[in-house]
Amino acid sequence: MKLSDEDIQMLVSEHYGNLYRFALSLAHNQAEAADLTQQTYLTLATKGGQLRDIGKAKSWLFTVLYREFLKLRKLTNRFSEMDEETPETTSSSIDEDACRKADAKIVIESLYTIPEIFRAPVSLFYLEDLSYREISEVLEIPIGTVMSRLSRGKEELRSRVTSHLTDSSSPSNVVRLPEASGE
Amino acid sequence: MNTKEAQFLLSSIRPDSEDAEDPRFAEAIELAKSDPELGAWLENQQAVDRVLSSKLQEIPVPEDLEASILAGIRVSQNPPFWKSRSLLLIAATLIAILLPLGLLVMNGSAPSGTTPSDFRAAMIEKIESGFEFDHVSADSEEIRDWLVSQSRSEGIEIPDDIAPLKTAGCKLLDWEGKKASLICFHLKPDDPGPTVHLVTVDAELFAKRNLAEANIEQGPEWVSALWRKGGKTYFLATIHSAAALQEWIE
Repeated sequence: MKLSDEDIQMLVSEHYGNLYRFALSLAHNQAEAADLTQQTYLTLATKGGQLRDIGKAKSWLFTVLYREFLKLRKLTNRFSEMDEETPETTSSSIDEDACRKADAKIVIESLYTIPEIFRAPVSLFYLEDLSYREISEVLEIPIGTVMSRLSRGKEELRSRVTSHLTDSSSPSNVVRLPEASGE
Repeated sequence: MNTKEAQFLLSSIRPDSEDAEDPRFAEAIELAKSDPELGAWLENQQAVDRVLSSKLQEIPVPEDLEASILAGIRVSQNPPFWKSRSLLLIAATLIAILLPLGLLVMNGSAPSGTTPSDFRAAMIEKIESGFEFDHVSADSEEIRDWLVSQSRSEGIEIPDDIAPLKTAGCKLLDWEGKKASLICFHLKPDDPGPTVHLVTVDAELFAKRNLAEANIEQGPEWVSALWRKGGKTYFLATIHSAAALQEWIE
């Protein structure tokens, strides 16, 4: 199906924000995240004809962005494969009230510190409310692998948020959220 | 199913979603209903999920990003630069040449006696007309496989210097009822558009003419080569130099 200008504008407007946030969770870098988001939409403009159902556009966009990220990682050699057996996650018993007290910046920075192999599925789960099946399609990994990474990744995120809340001073391994540069 | 197994599955359920209806989770959900500790765990899990999701949605997005994206899309959809540069000149030239032949070749109705010059002019006009690729790929090998799947250009021999170049895509053509294809290449990977174009016709055209050696013609904008080999007719056109073209086909 050929996408009309209105379709494309609608898809930009509806999804660019969360695509950018997903890209940022992967890349840790605002410029790279913006570039990945832009590249994703350029692919839509040139290859959007491959979309048979505009209802699948959201998954399609996230899939394209993730592939672009992986291509970039291959080029820059910064992507490190994680052994599925590591790391060991510690159980945390954070509750809703404690979580509400966490500053959004702390939660975001905690996301950046969880192992990269968990970050993509956890980001898609929280940012874009994708189901485990949709996450499996976007990341092109088996459903069982998605569930495993969600289970461990969410636990890892909660553990990091909990340690921020229980430790009043900033831990030395916190990755500061990039400041908005207005570029 | 034990508690740990149930927790593993229940971690993937999105709060306030239709995931609860997914048969994959049915047993775990039933267990959570009957086991108060597991039920409390699930309730807490989903409450925390809601909060974490809303916190992560607060990641700021650059203010100008949407506008940049839309501008980039508009630029990518503009006609190829060579069309706007050459349009007036080519239009004037080709009207004189093509008018007796009819329009662009697509359905094989060209009159007999079509010459190589007519063919060249028709192919250049097609390349400059701006068209949508039938198949997009950056890999000429992949394009070759796709063309074979379309029953075209099987056994195509792309010149060795051209084959490794990044491709933009390919277009299916017909010439006088014969199957043909057009593959467009980027001479440099970051060129804004493809500048090397290979047309392959699945027949040896111009039988009475000697095309054993590729003959190169320099036009106002394009230089092209035309040759026959292995039951096919090849036409290679570029806006680069005749010297470069000569090297590619040697």
